[in-house]
Amino acid sequence: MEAGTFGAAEIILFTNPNYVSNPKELTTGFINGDGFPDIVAAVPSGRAIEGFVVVNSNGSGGFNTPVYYEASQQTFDVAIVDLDGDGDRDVHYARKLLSGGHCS
Amino acid sequence: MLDANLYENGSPTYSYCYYRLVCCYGRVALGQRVCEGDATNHATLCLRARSANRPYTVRGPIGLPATVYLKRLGEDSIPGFSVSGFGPSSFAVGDLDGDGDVDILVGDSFFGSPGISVLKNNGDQTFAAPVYYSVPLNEVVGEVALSDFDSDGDLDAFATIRGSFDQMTKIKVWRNNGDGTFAAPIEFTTGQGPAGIVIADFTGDGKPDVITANYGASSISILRHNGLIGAGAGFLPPVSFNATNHAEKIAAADVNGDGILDVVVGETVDIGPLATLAVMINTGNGNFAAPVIYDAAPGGRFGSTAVALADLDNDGDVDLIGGGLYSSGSIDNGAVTIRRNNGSRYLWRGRNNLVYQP
Repeated sequence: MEAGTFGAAEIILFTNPNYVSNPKELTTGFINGDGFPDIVAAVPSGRAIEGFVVVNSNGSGGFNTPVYYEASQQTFDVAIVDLDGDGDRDVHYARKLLSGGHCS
Repeated sequence: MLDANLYENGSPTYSYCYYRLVCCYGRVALGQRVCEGDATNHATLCLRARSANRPYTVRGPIGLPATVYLKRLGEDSIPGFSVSGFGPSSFAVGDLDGDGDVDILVGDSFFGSPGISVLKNNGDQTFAAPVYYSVPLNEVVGEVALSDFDSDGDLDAFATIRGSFDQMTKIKVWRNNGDGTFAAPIEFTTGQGPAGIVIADFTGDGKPDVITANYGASSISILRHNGLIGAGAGFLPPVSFNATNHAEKIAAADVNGDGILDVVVGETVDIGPLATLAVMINTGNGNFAAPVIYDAAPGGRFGSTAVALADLDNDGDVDLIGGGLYSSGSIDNGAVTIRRNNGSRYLWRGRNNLVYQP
């Protein structure tokens, strides 16, 4: 098959009992140490979930059930980087400061 | 542009306001409705966001300040955040001050206070207060990126300037003074409404080029590096390639295995809830073939423009990652969608079992 073309979509649903929005931003990185990339999605809005979703690789080219992490506010971007210098990767997210407001 | 990323329920079942849009200054159009308020008399609009159907896009008037807030139902008593100076919507990470730890460059998209903010890592798991670099009110920032384009050893800050109506045509570049503070920005022209940005060597000359995903023009623009270093470093006038739909996000990788970087563009479709992922192959020197279009969320209710590329199955080629929103019983849930690259000469047969296909 031709390089640079892609196959049918495999859909990994965030099957949470609460509404979880579609990803606003996506990134990949090595989180669980199995040598395969893991996926992190920023999910900005939902009834109960505002944060990010980690889709861990299963070590054989597929993926495990997504895991949710709540942030206090809407999440619009996400990256995997070692922020605290401890040698492993942390997930950082940009929070949109929208949860309140005043006019003065 | 403030993309509130809310979804209006087409059904009248939900009679409550899930979010309220509070308009303090200026006049904001939301579809056919207008929200207009001032410092003492703020107006509100009811936003029903229980279910996903189509996104709200809240737009302020060109060149005029407008300040809006979103309040969730039941949270009116929570002290509000002022968006002034800090309305983050994207960020980039890198060592901005050369002290060996990772700092954060934030793109502030919110009209009323667009610009960039720098958060320096204190090295003890805390960050210093953000240092804000403003841009004019109507120069809404799309995304930010970091690259040492002038080869002086530090990371310079890039931001797409899409404008509040995706009417603008430029990027801004702030040179790093070497210590994580930044000089006054310089500008380079792009196609209309640049949103996404990726910086990498697309021409093979060893220098970083800029490609923007242009929401307004439904195109990508490559700004080839001029090859110079130091103060003379810069970018040539943009060359644009049609990307079919409203280009918003962009990722780069060698998709077809020819050794040069290609791009995939996350796009919004004009009518309907679809988003598309446009694969654009670099045919050499940063020229791009016509896009091959994929549905970001087949069978879904709404597609994301988010896109990433990675070799998910370790078969030697990069796979395509997108997302969307799917109906899941009585509720909707987001999803990641994966499309595997057809190009590999290896077939993945399970752990530690790669089968070569000549």
